[in-house]
Amino acid sequence: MTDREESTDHALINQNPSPTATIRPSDKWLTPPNVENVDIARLLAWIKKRGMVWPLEKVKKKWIQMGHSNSIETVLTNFGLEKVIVARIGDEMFVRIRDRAWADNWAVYYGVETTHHGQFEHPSKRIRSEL
Amino acid sequence: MTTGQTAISNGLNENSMKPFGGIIPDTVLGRTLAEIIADPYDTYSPKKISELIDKSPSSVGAALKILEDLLLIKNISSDRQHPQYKIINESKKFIALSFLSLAWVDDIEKSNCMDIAIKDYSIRHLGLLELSCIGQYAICRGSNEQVMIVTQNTLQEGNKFFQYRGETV
Repeated sequence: MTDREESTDHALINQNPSPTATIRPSDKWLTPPNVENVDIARLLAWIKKRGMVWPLEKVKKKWIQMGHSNSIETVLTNFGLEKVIVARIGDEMFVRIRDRAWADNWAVYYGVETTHHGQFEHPSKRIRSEL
Repeated sequence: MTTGQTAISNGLNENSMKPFGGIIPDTVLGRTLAEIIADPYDTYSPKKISELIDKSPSSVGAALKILEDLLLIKNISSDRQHPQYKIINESKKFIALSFLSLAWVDDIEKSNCMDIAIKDYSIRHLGLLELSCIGQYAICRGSNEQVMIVTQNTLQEGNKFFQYRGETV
C-alpha cells in the first residue's frame, strides 16, 4: 500500500463514521488501555444497565469496591456535560449517562458488554498480564 | 428546576430505580440479581452487595444462596463463613438477563444499547463477521478482533485481504 493510499484510508475513517470506525471511546483515549480505563468502562456499563441514571452515592461505593481511591465524581465530570451529568434532585445527587453511543463504545471497546467463555477473568487482570 | 436536574430526571419514572425497570419484583433477590447482572466481572460477598442495595447482609446472603441454587452464580470460597460468588458465565440465563438489563433501558430511552450488545456478542462469541462499506472500501471485523480494510475490487478478486496496520480500528 502506498503512503497516499494509507492517508486516504485515514481520511475515509475520519469522515465517515461507521460502527467499526467509532469503536474507540474517544480520541482522548487512544493510549493503550490501562486498568482504570477498563474499570471506567465497567462502571459506565453498570450505570447503563441500571437505567442510565443512578445515585452518585452508590456510584461512589461501587468505585471504591473496584479498588479505587480517587474521586469518581471528578472522573465523570471531567468527561464533560455532553457525556455524563452529575446533578442534584431533591436531597440526592444522581449520575446520568447522556451520550449513550459514547458509553456503548466504551463497553464494546473493552469487551465488558457481556462476558463469554474465554473472558471470565476480570478484564483488569487480563490487561495487567498483557502490559 | 435547573438544566442539570431536567437532564437527570428526563425519562425517570417510579420504576426506574427498581430491578430491570420493574420487570422483576423489587425484593432483595431482585435487587441482588440486578446488581450482579449489571457488573458480572466482580466477585460478590453478601456484605459487598448489601452496601449497594441498602439491605442487610443476611438477607442478601439468602438471596445469593437462591441464585446459587438456580445455577446463576457459584461460590468460589472454601470458607463457608465468608462466601464469595461469581457469575457462571456459561449460563445462558445470565446472557439473556444481560440483554434484558439493556432492553428495558432501550424502551425508556429510545436507544439501541441491546442491539449493540447483541451485535458485539455475535461477533465475539458466535464468530460472525461484521462488514461495513465506506465508499470503495470495506471494513471487516471478525471474532478475533482483527480489523481489515479491503477495497471492493479486492473483495471481487477473492480473499486477498490485507491487514490494516495490524491494529483494531
